[in-house]
Amino acid sequence: MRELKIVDALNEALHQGMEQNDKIIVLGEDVGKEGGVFRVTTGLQKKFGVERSVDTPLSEGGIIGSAIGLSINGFFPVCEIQFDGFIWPGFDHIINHVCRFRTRTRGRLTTPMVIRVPFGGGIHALEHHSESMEAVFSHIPGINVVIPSDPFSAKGLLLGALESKDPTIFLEPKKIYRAIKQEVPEEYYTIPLNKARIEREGSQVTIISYGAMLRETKKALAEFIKTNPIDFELIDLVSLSPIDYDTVIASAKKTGRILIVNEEPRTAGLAAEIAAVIQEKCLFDLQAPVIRVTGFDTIMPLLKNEDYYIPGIKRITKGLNQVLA
Amino acid sequence: MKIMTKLNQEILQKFPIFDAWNPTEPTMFQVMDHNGEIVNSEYANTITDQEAVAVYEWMLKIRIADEKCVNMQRQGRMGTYPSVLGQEACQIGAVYNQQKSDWLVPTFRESGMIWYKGIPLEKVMLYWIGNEKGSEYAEDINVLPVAITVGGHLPHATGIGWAERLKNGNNITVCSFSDGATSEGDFHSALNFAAVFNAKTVFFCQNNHYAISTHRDMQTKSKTIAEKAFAYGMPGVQVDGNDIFALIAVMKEANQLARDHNIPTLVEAVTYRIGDHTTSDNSKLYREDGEVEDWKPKDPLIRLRAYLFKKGLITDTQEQEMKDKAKEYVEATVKTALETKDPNIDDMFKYLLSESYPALEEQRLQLIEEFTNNQ
Amino acid sequence: MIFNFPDVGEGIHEGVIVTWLKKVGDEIKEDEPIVEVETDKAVVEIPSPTSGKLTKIYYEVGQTAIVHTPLCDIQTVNEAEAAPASTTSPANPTASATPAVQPADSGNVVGSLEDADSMPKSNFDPLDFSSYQSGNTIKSTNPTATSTEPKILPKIRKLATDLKVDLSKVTATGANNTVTEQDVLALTNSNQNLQTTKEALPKFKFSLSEYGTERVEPLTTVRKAIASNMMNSFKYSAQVTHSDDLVVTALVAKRESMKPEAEAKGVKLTFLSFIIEAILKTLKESEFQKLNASYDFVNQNLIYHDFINLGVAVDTEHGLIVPVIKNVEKLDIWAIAQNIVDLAEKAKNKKVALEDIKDSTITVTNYGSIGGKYATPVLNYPNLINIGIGKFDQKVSYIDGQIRTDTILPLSLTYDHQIIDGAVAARFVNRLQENLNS
Repeated sequence: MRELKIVDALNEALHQGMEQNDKIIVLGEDVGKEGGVFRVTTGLQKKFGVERSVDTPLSEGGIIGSAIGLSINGFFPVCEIQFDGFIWPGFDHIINHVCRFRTRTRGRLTTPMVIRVPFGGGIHALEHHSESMEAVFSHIPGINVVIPSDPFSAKGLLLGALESKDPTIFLEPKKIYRAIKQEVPEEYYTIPLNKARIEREGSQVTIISYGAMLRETKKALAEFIKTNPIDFELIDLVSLSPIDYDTVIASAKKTGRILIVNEEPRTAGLAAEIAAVIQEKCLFDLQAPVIRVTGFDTIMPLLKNEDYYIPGIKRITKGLNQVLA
Repeated sequence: MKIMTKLNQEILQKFPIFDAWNPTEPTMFQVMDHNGEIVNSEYANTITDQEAVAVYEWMLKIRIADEKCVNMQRQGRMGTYPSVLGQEACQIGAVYNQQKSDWLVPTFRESGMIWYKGIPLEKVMLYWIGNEKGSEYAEDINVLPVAITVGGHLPHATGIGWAERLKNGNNITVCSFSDGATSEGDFHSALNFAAVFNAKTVFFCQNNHYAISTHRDMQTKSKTIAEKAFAYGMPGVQVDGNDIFALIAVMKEANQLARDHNIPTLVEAVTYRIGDHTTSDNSKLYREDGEVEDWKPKDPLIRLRAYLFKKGLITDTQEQEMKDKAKEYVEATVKTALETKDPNIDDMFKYLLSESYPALEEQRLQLIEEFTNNQ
Repeated sequence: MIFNFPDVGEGIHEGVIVTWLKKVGDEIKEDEPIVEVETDKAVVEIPSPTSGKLTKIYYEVGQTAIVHTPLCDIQTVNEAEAAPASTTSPANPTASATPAVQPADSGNVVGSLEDADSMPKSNFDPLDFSSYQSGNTIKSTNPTATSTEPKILPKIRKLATDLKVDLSKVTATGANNTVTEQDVLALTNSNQNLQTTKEALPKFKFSLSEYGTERVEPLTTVRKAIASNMMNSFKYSAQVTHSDDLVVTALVAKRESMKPEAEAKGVKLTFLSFIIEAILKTLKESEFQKLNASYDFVNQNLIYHDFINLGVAVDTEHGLIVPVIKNVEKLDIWAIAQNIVDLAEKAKNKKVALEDIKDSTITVTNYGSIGGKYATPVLNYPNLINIGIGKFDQKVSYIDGQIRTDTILPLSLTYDHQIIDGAVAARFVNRLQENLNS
């Protein structure tokens, strides 16, 4: 089977999705002619035309706001927000409208759509291009949030999101857009949106991560197991809203030790939410406190210092040792 | 006039009201003045006499219903309510030319408009009473829920109009909003996108002169709101919003521009908010009584009434009958609305997503237990 | 200095050497183009970052140079290793780009992305754990800072609460000062005061075989039980002994007078019977009821028994056993006497059952029959008293010009001072004497 990188897997998903459903419209800044600044939408305009792969004026509020109208009147918009740090002008529409139309109209009008955003740090980029505000999105009722960590799940999740009856925020870990090659089936396939994925089963410690940090966690683990061959269970969280607690809690009860690794600002983050639910549901199975490895409650530094912010092997290893103590 | 736009000028010439409107020398398009006199005979017969009488009856209904809602709030039987007093012509004019499948994206001060468009008055009342069953519209009525965010709904209207063009559909979208909304960023992005993507959307601004306490003159330095359209390369016009004939004439053109030519427009209807911002507001704090008194004679009902009486199209008795009938209907509706049961306690879970998930279901059961257990 | 092939196109990964514009040995000036490289879409000239002499090239014409790897060496004027600044930093996309660059399609406009196609093989490949075999033990290389407080997991805390175990008395025996389930369970029976400490027992030298031969004989079950009970008795009580000579002249006479009746009944009426009768009578008095109680130190309660189960210490060939006469308070002197006789028989014939030797509330130890005056009988724990009876003796005294001979009974009362004070013990013995002679 051929191997694809995440960008290519996403691109293939869009091609196949748009072939399958002629109501899908991709819109965003520089997505049409240029194919997106990360080339995720390459070739779409050529194949499907300017009305289905649309270069919009520079306005995230306009993109997401119009998408709401497009969705209400029969289309399935796929908004591309160029960088995580630029989503905020459109955030008003996400939190005030996208997630609310179904409730507001008691089911009569819904706004199924996908909002794709390159997400997270580690690419030596400029300010506002390295954000991890997934907790903010996950906190909003009425909208799903997913994040793939490899090419196979990227394609399946995006196709799954394109079929969803609910709006999805699709976070794309930009650091690993091209860093991983993996076998990806050529055919159309979907992956369920609200399920976590167990990458490795184990009995001694549960390690939960997602996005680009999953790979960093694996690097730390590869090093760790050389001297300390622990039987770890590694979970790719995948769905940040809703969180697949069936999988998480079953694992937590089994191992009694849980490490959560991500790059978000620490306070009031997703890791804190998971820790709260774990202590609520299985306090008496715990062998150690739930350990979180996260970023800091600071602004992400510019490229020279960004590796001090984003958890690296050192911080993850320390977390491993803490949870195994 | 030749406006600075990439639009086809030849098309625009077919729409004389829009074509004539000059942003550098703005005028307010009017057909009937506040005394009920026709000042622009070219448009005197925009609607028939019979239609004029029917419109007047509707204005009465709206006014009576609106007054009733204000009273209900004062009686503690309704929540905060925004009155449309003084804006009845706009409430009808914005959607007068619409076909049933056309879309309406309203603001919140819109009880007359959505009722006229086809939402039962009972639903309107239920919504302001705070009962979410008031949001249950029929499937085949293309009206969006009232927009509480100011200006947030404009891009939605753009999207709907854009989608319609993509579908090669025949429906237009009227987006109604007030002068206050024109300051929000959403106004800018909505009109910009609508023009760029040729959305079949008409942006109908009810300039009622107040955004709570902020006078229109403090909202923007532009002389008119209509002229802002030209910044986006789309036509705009300012019209007397209390003149139903002018409104209908303008909207006829606007709708056709959208429907037949995919050209969005901005219509600024100049009117006045006679009542308070809402029932929780006291406009005496920021308005001179004199100003309100100045505007009262320009009331849309007064001039239409004068016109109808002058033409012998209506008698006092008929008018009284209309009022009585309206009152009766409104009272009956109030009764039904107040007797409507509250929504189920777990409805908040029912309409959140297409399907629930375990953690959510757990919460729903907790809620049920909280309120049904004899604890 | 080593000049690394810079990322000239915002994220390109490699380029093919087209022409070296300078050759090894040439003098070069800063910003002077030194090589032409072909990237995805364009041919790019790379300018020198510094002045100096080109001393080495790493890629020949036609070879593919990988970004951020050495391209050439430049010997600078002062021969110092110039800090390459932005050229060796992997992170700066624009630092050494030539102005006339046609950027190749890097697939991103900001920053630089790792690319699987042109990454050097990392230590972490493959990140595939499918064939990883884990070990079995959990070992943390950096245990958390040890505090003096033992670590108690929520599960263990709950167990202790459910079993009503006082966690402050628990000793942690688990790794890293953790309290285990066993540690909690160890305190659920009456072992609370017992510190199951892990402190090492002092090394005693029991065998002295270097002096001669020795014979090792394992302890019998009975002896083991006795040893254990003795140690427990001392561990869990604060036993003290009060001794006195009781004048029992009247008792002697009384017994004599009852002899005929005894013979008629066929009961051997021993002194012990009378003593027991007197003890029972004294214990019924309110001040002395607590001597027949049990001290539940776990719950800090004193349990008063409305009955008396009398343990009588008996010496057998196997060692000391203490058969118990249950509910002795219901018995009259004759029954008491009979019971004692029966008891002695049983013991002699090894017919004493497990049932018979448990649940005493007080104990009497009569060593007088063997010999001895005063002793410190050990409490038959959890009894609060053990009354030791010594050998009768005669006392001659001179009172008011008269010589008097009295029979005296040396009595040693061991009592648990946790509950019974010395004064009470003394008064008990005084009262006992009174009752013996009445």
